[in-house]
Amino acid sequence: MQLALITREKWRLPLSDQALLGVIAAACCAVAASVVPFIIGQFTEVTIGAWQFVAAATLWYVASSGGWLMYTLIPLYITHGQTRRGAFRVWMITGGGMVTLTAAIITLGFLVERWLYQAQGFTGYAEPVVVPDLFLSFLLAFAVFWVVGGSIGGALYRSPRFGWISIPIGLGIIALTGSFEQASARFVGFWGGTTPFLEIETMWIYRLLLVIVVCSVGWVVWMMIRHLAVRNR
Amino acid sequence: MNIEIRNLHQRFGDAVALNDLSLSIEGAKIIGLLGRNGSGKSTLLNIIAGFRKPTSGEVLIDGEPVFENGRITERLALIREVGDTVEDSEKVEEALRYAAYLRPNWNGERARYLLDRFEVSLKSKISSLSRGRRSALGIALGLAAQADLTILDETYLGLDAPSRYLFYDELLQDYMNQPRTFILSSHLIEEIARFLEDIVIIDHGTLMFHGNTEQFVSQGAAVTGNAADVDRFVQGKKVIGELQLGRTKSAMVYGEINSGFLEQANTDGLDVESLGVQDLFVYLTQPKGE
Repeated sequence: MQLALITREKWRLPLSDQALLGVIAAACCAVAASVVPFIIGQFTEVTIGAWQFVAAATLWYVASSGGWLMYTLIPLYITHGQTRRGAFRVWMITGGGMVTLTAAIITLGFLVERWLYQAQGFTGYAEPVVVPDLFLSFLLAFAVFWVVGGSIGGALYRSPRFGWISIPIGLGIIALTGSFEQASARFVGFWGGTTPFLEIETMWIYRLLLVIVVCSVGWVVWMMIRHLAVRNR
Repeated sequence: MNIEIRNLHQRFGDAVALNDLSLSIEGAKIIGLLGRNGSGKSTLLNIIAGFRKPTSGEVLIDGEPVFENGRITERLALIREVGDTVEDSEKVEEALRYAAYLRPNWNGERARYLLDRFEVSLKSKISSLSRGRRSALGIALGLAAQADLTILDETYLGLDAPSRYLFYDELLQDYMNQPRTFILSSHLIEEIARFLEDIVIIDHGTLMFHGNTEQFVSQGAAVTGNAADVDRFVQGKKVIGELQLGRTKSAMVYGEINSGFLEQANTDGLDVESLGVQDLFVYLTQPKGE
């Protein structure tokens, strides 16, 4: 059943659509991110990259997708005779696919951007990219945004009156993990080691912390929906 | 399919929706679930379908608990009111697509046939459908799911009379072609009474009656005649309602209406008429003093 998730005919947030959307959006952004600095570079030194803004927007897109899917998946599944467990599994699988895909696209975008900047002779923003580090950092950051989005979606479905309380809590979790830095487009600060409380030397601890956060918030989402009643519209 | 409901209890804050309700349903049949507004019908149906976990008690289907049991829940279809299995922003054809994906016995051809009969376009956005058309979509989703237990909770209220009769025809056809259990909850009692095999009445969260429809109807009678004679006749009998116009009085009696009862009424010069399902239901469930 899960294989059907990737096809447009079968599913609400098909991975094939996500991939297509990601590639198209990335291509458009790549063009914009190379043309705009090129024009600016004619007049002044380019000191910041444009792709980081794309990365920031993508983080919020992933969070929204996680929330929206959770909000709509639970009633859809249960009212069609499926279980909450099944809906949660599908949400996780979709999240895993989306997080990996977006992390790959964003990493590729940074690589292309560096190459373009170097080709155009910009020196202000052309430090080398360590692909595994970059990919892993984004993979974890996207995962944090996905589960936080899902927890907000689940909370809003569970309680339309009080579910909004999960929004500041979710934003707090994002801020505490340092992922907020990325989402506010200060990407270099994140992977360069200027996270709120950790240095680059302790990056593995930081990543471990992110894994724990993703698992913990994911567990909270499950606890929130496992006995959830389907609301009547 | 056997449905066993044991000591079901559901609270919403201080309000008790279901109070120690136990019930057993066996075999393929069309069952009417009747109850006044707020009697706990929808709560009961939600729990049977696994939409909600009860505060206490359990529902077993073919001996297995329902809640979060995929083997059982995929054999159930509950359609509530106008159908809430889809998002408003989506199209009818998308609703069918999800059902095809998630329902193991989905009959897409049947769904498209029913939508065509009810004149619902596959291309229509669900938010743009009238209440009647949304009801029709709910019916199509419910019947085409071909679930062993299909529950329709006020699904057809939005339909006009011709569409409702079309729905009754299609329901009976479905039942004859593939006998299975249907539970219908409706306030249009007289319309559905003719094809109900069993009736379940709940009132204030407790079971008031469960049994065969004929058995139910045979327990109610209106005794009409001179007020004094009627009063004398019904002494010691369970009177569930009274109507009086001048010196003529009708008393609605509930209990064993046997040949002795009829002979005695005849001797006393009283008319005895059987009560319909709806009248009997109304008199049985009306609050004391009304």
